[in-house]
Amino acid sequence: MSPIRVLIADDHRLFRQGLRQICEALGRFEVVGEAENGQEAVEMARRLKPDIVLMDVQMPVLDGVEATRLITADNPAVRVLVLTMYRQDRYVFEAIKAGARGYLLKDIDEQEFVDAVRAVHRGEALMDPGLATRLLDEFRRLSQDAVDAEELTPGEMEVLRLVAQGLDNKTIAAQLSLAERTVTNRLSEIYQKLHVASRTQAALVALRRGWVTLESDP
Amino acid sequence: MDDPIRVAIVDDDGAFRQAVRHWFDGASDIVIVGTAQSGRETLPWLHEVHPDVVLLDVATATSQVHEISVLARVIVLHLPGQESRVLEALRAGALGHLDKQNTRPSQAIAAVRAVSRGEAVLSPAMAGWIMDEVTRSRRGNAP
Repeated sequence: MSPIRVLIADDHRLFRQGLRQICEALGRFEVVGEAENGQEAVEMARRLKPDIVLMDVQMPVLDGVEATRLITADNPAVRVLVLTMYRQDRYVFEAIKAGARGYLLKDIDEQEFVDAVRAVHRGEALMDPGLATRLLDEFRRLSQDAVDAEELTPGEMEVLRLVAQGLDNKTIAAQLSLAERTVTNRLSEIYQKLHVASRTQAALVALRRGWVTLESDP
Repeated sequence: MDDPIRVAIVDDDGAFRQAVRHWFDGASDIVIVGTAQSGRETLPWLHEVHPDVVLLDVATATSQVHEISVLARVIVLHLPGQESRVLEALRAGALGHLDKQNTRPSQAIAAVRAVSRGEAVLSPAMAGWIMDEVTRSRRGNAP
């Protein structure tokens, strides 16, 4: 099996060196790079495509939370692990929301550290109860948003599918044997429910949620 | 001393209900107030025994998970491979989950104590699943 590829982002040189040694000697990980700030971390993550980024929170130029957001938006396959001095770090949950898979305290035991990196690489997340509770709240809140947005009527859904095929209102009205006015009304309902402002955006939402596909009908 | 934590067990498998009961043999702060099969009578029965925590089979209908989680804190019991159902239950109001096959009594006891305090109990794997979901839905909602 190929080694886990790790990028280290921390503004303290000695700390980076220590981490590198543990990663290489104890973990048999491949350290692909060291970043001194968040901006460098984003650039190096883009270029080197590591499996894991070990991310300090407070760094110059760009902090760890923002860097995490950019890295995971760029490439969701990269798993970010936040390293922090304090369990109660108020930035930790921000980092989780930004896409980090968990956090490690900087005074963690070497072997625990290596195990944690391996666990995150397997797809697990590192949580304590407080963090798990907040994560679950966030999950429910986002699910609720999704449910709220999905309450389209069958009639609206019909219109949306045709919109996604690029048809104009007149053609949609003809296909569904509706008045053009009805199509316009349904469309404005759709905009409101999906929180969008144009037919293109509505079509994108429909695609993203899997309500329509790009394959044309036979 | 604090009042003991009242726990009810709802699962269709009688032998398993007994096994779950024994998870808590060593915990003097936890009392099993009853065990039952799931069904239409579950909710009225729970009203009667008024548990603090319900250990609930994950096969229970989502709407019922929601109703029960209004009454008490819910931990769903599941088998490996039922993660998507667990996710539904957590979305519906459950606060934690335990794997039927791989839970040690000490873990079950810790989980019941935690959810009775209002804390979530997620395995690292499930927390990873939820993070994936959170990331996905946030991306889906992006303007």
